[in-house]
Amino acid sequence: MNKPFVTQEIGSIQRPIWRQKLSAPADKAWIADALAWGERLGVGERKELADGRGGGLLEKDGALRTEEERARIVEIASIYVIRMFEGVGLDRVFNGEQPRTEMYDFLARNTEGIEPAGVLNSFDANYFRKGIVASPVKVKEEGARFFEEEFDFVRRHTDREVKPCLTGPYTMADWSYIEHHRAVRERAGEAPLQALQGGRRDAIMDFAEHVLNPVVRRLADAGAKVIQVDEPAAATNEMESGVFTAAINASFEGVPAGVEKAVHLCYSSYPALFPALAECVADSYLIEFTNHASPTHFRPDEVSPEAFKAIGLFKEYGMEVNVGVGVIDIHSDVVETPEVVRDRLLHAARLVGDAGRVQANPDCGLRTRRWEVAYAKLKSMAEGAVLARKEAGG
Amino acid sequence: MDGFSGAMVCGRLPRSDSTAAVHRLVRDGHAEAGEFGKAVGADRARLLEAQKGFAFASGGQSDWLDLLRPIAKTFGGFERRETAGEDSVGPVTRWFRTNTFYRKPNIVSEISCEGGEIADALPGLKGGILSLIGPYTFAALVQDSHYSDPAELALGYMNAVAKSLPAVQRKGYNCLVLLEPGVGYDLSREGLRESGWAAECISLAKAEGWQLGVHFPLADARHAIAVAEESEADFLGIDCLRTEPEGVSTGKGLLLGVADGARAGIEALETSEKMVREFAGAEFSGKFYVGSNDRLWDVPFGVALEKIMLLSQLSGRLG
Repeated sequence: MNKPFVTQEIGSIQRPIWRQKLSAPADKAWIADALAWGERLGVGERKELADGRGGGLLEKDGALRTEEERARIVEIASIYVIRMFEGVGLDRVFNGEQPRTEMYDFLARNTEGIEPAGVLNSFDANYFRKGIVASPVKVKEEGARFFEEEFDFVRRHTDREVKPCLTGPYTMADWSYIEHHRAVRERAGEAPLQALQGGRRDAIMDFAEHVLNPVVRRLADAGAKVIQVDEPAAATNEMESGVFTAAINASFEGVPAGVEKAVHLCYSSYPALFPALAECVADSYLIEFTNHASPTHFRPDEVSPEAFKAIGLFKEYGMEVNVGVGVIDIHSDVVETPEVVRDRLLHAARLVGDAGRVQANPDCGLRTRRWEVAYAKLKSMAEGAVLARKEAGG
Repeated sequence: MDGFSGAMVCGRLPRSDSTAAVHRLVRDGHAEAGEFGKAVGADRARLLEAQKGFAFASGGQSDWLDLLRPIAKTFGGFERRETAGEDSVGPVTRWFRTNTFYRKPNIVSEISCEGGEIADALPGLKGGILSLIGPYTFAALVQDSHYSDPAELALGYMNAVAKSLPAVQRKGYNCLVLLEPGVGYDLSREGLRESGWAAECISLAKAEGWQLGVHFPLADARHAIAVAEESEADFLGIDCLRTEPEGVSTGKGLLLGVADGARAGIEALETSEKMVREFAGAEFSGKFYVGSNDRLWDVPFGVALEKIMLLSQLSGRLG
């Protein structure tokens, strides 16, 4: 039996201001913050950031820093996050995507065929940079190499299981303006609407085969035992559930057995993906489960009804998959109690019917939360998982 | 061209990159909230400049966090959870088939308002156009924990909206467009829900000196416009990308959505003009406007400006 309630983050953690503003002048408040967190997390490398004599990386005017110095600051930010995840007690860790810009933007920048279009709002004060697919897409060699080296860096800095994450093909296509693939079909004489729909399908598979799959294979070759593909857009259009599934399968094509193929879905109507999803090769689905439910008490009717439906459908279609349930609301600063986390996990275990197939994670990445809040939430999640294991006899 | 009445854009308009940057700084506590308002104001000035000569001017409603938020935060009947933060009026929920989201309000008692709430969320704008969610879509977007059925829910909403409109008119606005993306979404799935009640709800927003439109983005209008045909709306918005002109039949005016709100590329003027002329053969009142097939929120600010300029040029040709 798998360890019940394996704990993990979804991907992103807010990049500290001193990691974001690599070209800014030295700032005493930023340095103090970096040192305080470094001490709290037990990061020895904090002394490289500030040595008190003006020789630290953050003590130097950002405009005068070399590329190597900036890269080292980013590496140290990654180490901070690794220590944070270890410190709160997560079973699986990564780097909080510290070296990356944003989940869409970073992969887009590392993909041939995408041109920048501009910034769009997703909700509240959250934005993303959208690109135009102007020609066939293909991951750049330096991009593929980056993901492999990023994985290797984390592995060298932890003894926990390392879970790299990548933005999936459907989401990459859906969040882009598909101009090339659409125009190809328009030139072939298709009506505008048919060209739009067909062009989307072509682009999704193009991303799967020529962007995701080469990177996923490299990560597997490098030794990754679990690889997470992030698909927040997955259920955007239920008419495309077939191509979504085909794209996930194509992304994981050639990955050896024994590597856990995980897919993260959130803020969607999961039933829209069925029945096509039954044909998907993924071993694990990490889904939003909490979304706005009370952080201080558990009520089964308050957690995401979509998640309930998804778990029911996994069973209905005979999919013996792992279900990572989001037990942390990432859109609120209020910290869930460990007891609420425990109750959510036990509830999910009852629904799934096997605690060994239930994993614990936040609803989505914690990028929009301050470190203080993210730390407290993840700690509560890990503590809640311990309580749940005790109760489940694991 | 006979019957051509000008151009308009409806729905929220996007924020510029610099406004987005300011907004993030405000979110992270590095700038005062007023800075965001100033940045939105600067965007609005550019948008209004581009709309010179339009039938109605849109201020963009770009400071609205979503099209329901000012209502959900100020009208009676909407649950507000103090523990989840000032703006947490409901869970983050996907906005139809997009990478944008809204907070899904929970209706816990009868919807009510004083009358000035919507106007308070708008700048003064002579000849302005206001966009709100239409009743059919409203009933699909919110969590109803109070009313017995969608018709009652929508009626409660539109009664409150109607009470708000005089204050909006006093701020200079003379056009209201009710957006109904939920119609197109439903049509592409299981089909339209029972919607006989929608026309009555829409009619509540009709008033003296006030043009009332109902827009059906991402829908085949041949099927969608039935929702509003029996209402007192003056014109119906059509997604020209998804609609064949031959099957369109209405006694009302049309808003021809020729600029694609989901595409970064700017439409060729000739193609757009051809599309408009094809719709001249449809059966309608004869009066028509040109605009976008959907909100321009899903394109970057610069692209939205270019699409507005396209509509301006198109107006020049048609007028």
